[in-house]
Amino acid sequence: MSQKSDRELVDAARKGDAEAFGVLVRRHQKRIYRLAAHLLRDGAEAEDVTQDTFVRAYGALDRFDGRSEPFTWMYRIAVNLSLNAIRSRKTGRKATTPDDPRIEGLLADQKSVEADPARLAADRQAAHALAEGIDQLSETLRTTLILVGIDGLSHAEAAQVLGCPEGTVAWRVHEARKKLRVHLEQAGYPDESGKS
Amino acid sequence: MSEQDRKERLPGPFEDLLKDWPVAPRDDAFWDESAEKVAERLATAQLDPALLAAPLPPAAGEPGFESKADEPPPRSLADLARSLAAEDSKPESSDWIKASLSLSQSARASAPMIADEARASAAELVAPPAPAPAAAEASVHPLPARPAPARSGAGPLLMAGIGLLGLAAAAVIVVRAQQKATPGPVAAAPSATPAEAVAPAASAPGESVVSINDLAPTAGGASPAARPGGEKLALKGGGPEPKAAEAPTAPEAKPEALPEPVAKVDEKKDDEAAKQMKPAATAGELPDKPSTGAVQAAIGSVMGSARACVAGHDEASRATLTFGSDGRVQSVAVSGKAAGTPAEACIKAALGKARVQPFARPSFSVGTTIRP
Repeated sequence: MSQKSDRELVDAARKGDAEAFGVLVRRHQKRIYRLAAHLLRDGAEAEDVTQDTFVRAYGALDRFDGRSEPFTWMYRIAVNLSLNAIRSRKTGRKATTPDDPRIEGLLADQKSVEADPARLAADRQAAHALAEGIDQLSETLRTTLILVGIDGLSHAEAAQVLGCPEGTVAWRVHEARKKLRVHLEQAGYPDESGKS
Repeated sequence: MSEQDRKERLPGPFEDLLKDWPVAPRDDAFWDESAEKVAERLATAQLDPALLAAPLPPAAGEPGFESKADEPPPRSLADLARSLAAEDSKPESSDWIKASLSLSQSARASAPMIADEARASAAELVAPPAPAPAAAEASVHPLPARPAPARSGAGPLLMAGIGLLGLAAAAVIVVRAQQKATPGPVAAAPSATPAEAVAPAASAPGESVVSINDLAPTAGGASPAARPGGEKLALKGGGPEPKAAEAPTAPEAKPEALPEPVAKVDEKKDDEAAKQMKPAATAGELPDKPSTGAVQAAIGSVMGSARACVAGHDEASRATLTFGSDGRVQSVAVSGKAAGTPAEACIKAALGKARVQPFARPSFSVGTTIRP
């Protein structure tokens, strides 16, 4: 079962094979969670969105037309759920928080390979600068950058998730990187290429 | 790495950090539990179709993006003033805003008729059109799209500036109307008797019928002084009247939808106006005939009521007004669709309330079109 492709698993799930859908969940839940954590900047909300994404996707299996990959189709649901959660927050969340899963994860990763406290402090500072730069982007630029720059989707895949042309994805990524470079330069991390 | 990629790279370690950015690690038990929770909820799985829609709005500056949200719907000056009046509670600024609104309303009341007449008789115009009707139209037409007014202290100042400009224009128009209506001492022979002074060169005693369409539009046509009471301001003589600034706040003619004439003229005020006109008449400074602007203004002030009389008609009617030398309407002749119908009396009653300044000729007639 675990060797089947996503499309085969979706077909099986459509026919009522819940186990096939369980395989899909286990295969993609980490990616979906990572995406949601970057979008939401909140671990608990990311967990909820991740589970909700699969539940909603299961309820809409009949609507999956096969024109895109199942995971990009589920990504779209995850992005929509995440944006809905952000918009329904009563207050905006501009600053990074100590329990920001992005910072938490980065520091945990660094601790495993680096024991120098000074280096850890510098890494923490850099992670905050990068996170703040991403958070200052517009919702559109930030989401696109997370999909392409962090999650590693190709422009074509991101275009399927976002429902826009590939050229638009490329433009957004370019703009987001440009703004991010300006932010990092202002935060004391000069652009080594000398061009901003 | 291509030049483009090199340019887009983030400085220092950030490019690698971005690509391999981990999130807080979770152990296998966490993921097993999460997958089980999903499995438990599958029985109640439902989907909001909106979740399958494209998630993001376009970014500003994106290829093919047209910023509609930044462009408010076209708004007229009056709309802008109303919104500012509603937002701004400062009395000093609200006064200016109200004055601007009144100015706009007065222009709207008189401008349509003048604009219609000007269009209908474009070929008959005997003089190049003055900018006044166009200016009046500009004051009532929606503004071109522009950024939404910012909620700042500049808004009231802007409106105050617009109001000042409008009032200054009104003052200039009043002064010009006075200059036209009362020839200066240089124009009249100082030694001449009053009768000689007012005797027209042609000395044609009969009445002359002139279509209002043949009258060259002047700045006075659409000015505040051209409204009811405007003639009074124009004929008092002397320097610009401070009252001219208050003219726009006078009550307006009612909307045209009413079947009966509604523009009521206060007879007492007319009498007073006539009394005030008398000194000018006895001073030998009467014009040969009423000025174009005064005639347009007089008719414009009652045209709304006249139009209400022909509401529902499918074609225009014509009326010829005959003013006596005292400035009052002596008679109104109606022709066209309204003739012989109850609308005729209605039109006569409405147009009969028009007033111009006294003039030298025994009478002066002017024709006008009443469009439904």
